[in-house]
Amino acid sequence: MEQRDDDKDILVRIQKGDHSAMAELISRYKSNLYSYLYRTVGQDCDDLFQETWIKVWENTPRFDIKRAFRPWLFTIASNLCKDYWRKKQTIYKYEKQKEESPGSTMKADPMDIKKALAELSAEQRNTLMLRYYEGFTETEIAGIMRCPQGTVKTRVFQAIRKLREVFKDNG
Amino acid sequence: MDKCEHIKNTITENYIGKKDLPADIRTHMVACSSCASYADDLYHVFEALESYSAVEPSDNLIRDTLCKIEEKAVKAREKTLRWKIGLAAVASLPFIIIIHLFWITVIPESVGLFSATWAMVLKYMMIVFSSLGMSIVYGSLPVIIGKYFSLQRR
Repeated sequence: MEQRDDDKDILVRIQKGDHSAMAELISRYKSNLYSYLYRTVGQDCDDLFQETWIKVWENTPRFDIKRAFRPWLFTIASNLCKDYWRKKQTIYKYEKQKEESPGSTMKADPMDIKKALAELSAEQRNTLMLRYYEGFTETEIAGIMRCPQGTVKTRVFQAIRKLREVFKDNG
Repeated sequence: MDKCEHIKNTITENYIGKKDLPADIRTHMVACSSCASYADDLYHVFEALESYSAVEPSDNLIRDTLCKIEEKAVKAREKTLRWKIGLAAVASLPFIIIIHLFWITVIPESVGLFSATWAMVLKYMMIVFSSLGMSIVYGSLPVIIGKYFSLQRR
């Protein structure tokens, strides 16, 4: 998705304290951001959605309006997802162990993309979401995730390879 | 990297970029079962990814988000107001001290610490400082009180 030129006007209005501009900005990016968060963290996306916009509002006075807004928005969201996964890691590992235990009768539905995505690491999933669904370039993702461009490429390929294996195993 | 490995990477990149496979790759896939099978697997993976459709946030969530931002904005304004009140108090303190010192040293001329000329200069300075201090304190009060009540009303 292209950066919208009139983002700048809205951001200037927010910097001047116009509260209605914030509603306009949220309305503009709500679908993209919410879908990204939903696909990345699942049911807890509501909290992260609110946190992302609060952080945007808090940091807009310091935001350089010459920069593109969309990558910045997703940098904030991506960092929140990272923190979320760090906190959830223990619970996630425990749930995964439970699913993999011999006594467990749970088996991934071959077409259940959610379960397949849960097999990916947080970084792989996050990178794939930004690359495939949000259409960011590898350079942009490298900026968002603060990692080398090569790492982005590797993560995307690893994610696809992993998904392919999951689908083959359950297919 | 062998040819098939290179082609598999190209297939992956094309799927990720949502582009059609180039003709030479398609030709290769007709002859190479490994690459054809790989492309077929990826087709299913990306079909599943595509099925994971976008979701819309509820109107309530948007409303709550805006309310939370408004709450934060009010808190930030109150914080600024408290800071201004504090600053006004701190700024008025030196004036109060200076005025106090003048009252105890200059006014009782009988102390004899200053000559008559210096006493007069210091008296005028006292008047100037007093006026300045009072104007800062009392001048800022209506603004601060006005802002405080306007914030309370919101």
